[in-house]
Amino acid sequence: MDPDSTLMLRVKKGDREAFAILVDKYKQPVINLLTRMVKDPVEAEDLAQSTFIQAFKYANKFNVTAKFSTWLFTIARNLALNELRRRARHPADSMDSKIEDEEGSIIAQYEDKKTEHPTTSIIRNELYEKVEEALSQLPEAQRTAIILFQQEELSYEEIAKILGCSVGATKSLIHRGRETLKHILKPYLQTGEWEPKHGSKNPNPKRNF
Amino acid sequence: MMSNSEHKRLKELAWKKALDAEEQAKLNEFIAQHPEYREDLELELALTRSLKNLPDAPVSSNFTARVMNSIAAEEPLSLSIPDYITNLVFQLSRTILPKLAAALALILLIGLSYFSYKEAQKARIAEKLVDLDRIAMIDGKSSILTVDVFKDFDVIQKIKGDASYVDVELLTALKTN
Repeated sequence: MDPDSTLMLRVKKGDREAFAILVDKYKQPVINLLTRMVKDPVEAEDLAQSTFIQAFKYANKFNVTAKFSTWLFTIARNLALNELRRRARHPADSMDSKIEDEEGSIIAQYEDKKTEHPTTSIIRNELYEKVEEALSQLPEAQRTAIILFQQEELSYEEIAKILGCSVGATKSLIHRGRETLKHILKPYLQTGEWEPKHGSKNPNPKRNF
Repeated sequence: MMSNSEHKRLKELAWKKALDAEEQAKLNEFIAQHPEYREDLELELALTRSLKNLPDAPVSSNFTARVMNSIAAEEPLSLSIPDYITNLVFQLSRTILPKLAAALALILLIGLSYFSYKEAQKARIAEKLVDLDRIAMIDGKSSILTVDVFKDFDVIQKIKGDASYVDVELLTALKTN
């Protein structure tokens, strides 16, 4: 039995500490997926919180022979899809919980985000803005499949379970998504313009061919 | 010579992991023979690298604590069935059961009071009947009241009339006879 399933067995007996370990382990991948699905980090955190609450609430329904991450990502995706459908029905009614201060600037609801040096942040934005933009242009299923495949390194079988489709269809989604990304990002991929402009530049690591 | 399908397999393998020396050599050979695939392969590798290196989304440092607090707040919903029943009994014992006990005590008190009242009423009637029997004795020997009269105690109780009233004329007539 894998360590996550062992922890879930403890959770089923009401062990909250075991669940806290799982939350710590999976909060980042779940929030990564949700942020790229709903395109709003604050909303993504709210949805991630709901995901974990649902997972705890329905821990008794979890089959310990199944993979916890697959089950968790399925819950997260379903919640995100519900939110996207809700947005489509009520475009003006956003769950966005940003608060405007007196001067009109937007401050996040949760102030204690991970912070990094502003310069680093700018460089990172330069590097990955285009990729994020291109990803956001993909259909939801292609985007989710690519994120789970490339970022979270899930297998085709696991992604197929999360998306509720066949392994063949999953491979096709990833292939088509990558083709679209290559098409959109071709100028940047060829020139290496997305590599840091202000730092040591190594856009084309040594290749053998 | 490597086939197109093998080239495709290696390309897809490179999406997931770094190719080993043998796989890389095969790919190099293929590209040497089919330079038209070079650009696409370079794009593939660059895309894979960029996707893998995408920065993590921001996460609040207190995220886990917030989740666990929310779970604690929703605890009754997350209990197992035996725990849920125990919790339900506990909640009932705190809310409905005291009210139910008070209602039962009140009903018992009313019942006892009614029972006491009925007993007292019966005793009072019995007392009056004894008095009547004493008055009705003729020459201290016989009585017009027999045990049969007392069998219909409740009927007697329901008879309207002033029990304290004594029919003197009737008594006199009985005595003279």
